[in-house]
Amino acid sequence: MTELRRHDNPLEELHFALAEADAQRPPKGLGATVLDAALTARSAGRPVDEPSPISPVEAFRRAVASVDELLGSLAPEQWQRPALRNLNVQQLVGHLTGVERDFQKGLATPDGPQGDADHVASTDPVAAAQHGRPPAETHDEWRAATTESLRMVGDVEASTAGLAAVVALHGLRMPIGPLLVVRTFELWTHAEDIRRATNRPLQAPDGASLRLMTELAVAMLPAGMRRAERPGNGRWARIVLTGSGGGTWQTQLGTAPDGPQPEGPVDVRIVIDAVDFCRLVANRMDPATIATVVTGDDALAQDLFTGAASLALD
Amino acid sequence: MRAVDSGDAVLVARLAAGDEEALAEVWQRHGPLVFGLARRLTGDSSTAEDVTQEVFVTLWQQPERFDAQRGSLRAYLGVHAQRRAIDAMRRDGRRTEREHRHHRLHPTAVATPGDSAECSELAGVVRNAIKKLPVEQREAVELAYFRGLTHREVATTLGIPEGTAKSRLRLAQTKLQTWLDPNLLELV
Repeated sequence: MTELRRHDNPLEELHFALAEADAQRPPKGLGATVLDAALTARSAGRPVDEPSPISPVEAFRRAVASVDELLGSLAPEQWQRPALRNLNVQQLVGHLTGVERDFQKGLATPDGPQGDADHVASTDPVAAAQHGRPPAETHDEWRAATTESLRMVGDVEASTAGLAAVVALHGLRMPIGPLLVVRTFELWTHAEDIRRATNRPLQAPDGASLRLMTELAVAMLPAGMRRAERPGNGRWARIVLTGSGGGTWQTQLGTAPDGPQPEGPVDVRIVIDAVDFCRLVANRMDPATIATVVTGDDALAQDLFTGAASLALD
Repeated sequence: MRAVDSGDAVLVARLAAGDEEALAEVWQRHGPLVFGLARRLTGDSSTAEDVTQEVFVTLWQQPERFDAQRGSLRAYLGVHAQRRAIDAMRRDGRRTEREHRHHRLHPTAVATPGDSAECSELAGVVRNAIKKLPVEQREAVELAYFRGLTHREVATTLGIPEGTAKSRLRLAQTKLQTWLDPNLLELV
């Protein structure tokens, strides 16, 4: 028989393995009392190491700083490494500059043409324009674009409408707050693309940023499932994201064909690492290889993963 | 998707993520052990209930203190139940002979990383002792000790009534107490 663990104190382990023969059924009601006491100490759904919340602007600012540091560490030849689709690292940074410009158009004119523009096609000219340029210029141009985005976002934040103002960008139409979380997601995802391209270790976002990302991704799952033509039809999922930035959500996947339903029994329970979940949502991880614990409707879990991956703009 | 082992490590990761269903599962699996140990040590049902609550609330509040690499969740909770029970008795001014005996046997009430060579040697001694058991008892002990199954799960796995599983484990325990250090294996 295979030993599944290294025994720190073998006698103690054996002692408690056998001691259970003398376990006693606890008094009726003690289980409920214990659970109540625990949930009073820490509410259900809240992770034990919950980071202090940050604003979406701060999350975006941190993501920009992280990418800036990464680009500053690249050797000249690493800018030419293949990174994503047909783009090398330098062209991918050009793509990011293009996104900043469209984002700024959205901030200035919320219902402008950037709202329906394709995320890739709209930025391709900026990506292509990087060919032959010194990488430092590409980096400086991107840094200037993000500095301008942050300035504009700061102005919006101070305005009456604040981050609740709705902006349309690349097929998304949402308040600036969540849109900044999408942008944070995007910068982290492309930073990981660059890390992969240059053989650097991947790096999870900080816990507070990750928490914003996981919250938004869970909230957007029904939309992703509709986009992937795998509608959840109002069924319920319990999603447990482990590790820093994680948490527990019990969420309805879309609406039932016959209208809104009250919260019913959970159809599927999924336990997955929070960062892996974000990589899945970014379409950077194959659902077939992701390590999960699924209990309940396996087919629904598969639909949920497919829907999650379809949220990526790329 | 790739299924992963949903053992103690996953259970505790779920606790850390705020999954109260995981706490209910831990309660179902180990509540009777924790309460039983606390009841035996304190000799008082009300104090045992307080101890049990304290053990589970602490697990919920600080799940990261459990390290699946160092042993089973059952042993971890058992150690904490003992420690809390002794604390409770001390608070009540009821230092008993049983408590003194416990401290002689467990100078550090919570498992600490011991000398690895010593632990490895001890693990070998335990393994050899288990090998000497009659086959029916050995099967039951191996499932409980190496696989971390509850006694109900041992019964299900072996296809025998739960009472039979407990009986086999008790017989095994008696023999192991004789062969190993009897003090360390005695039930509190």
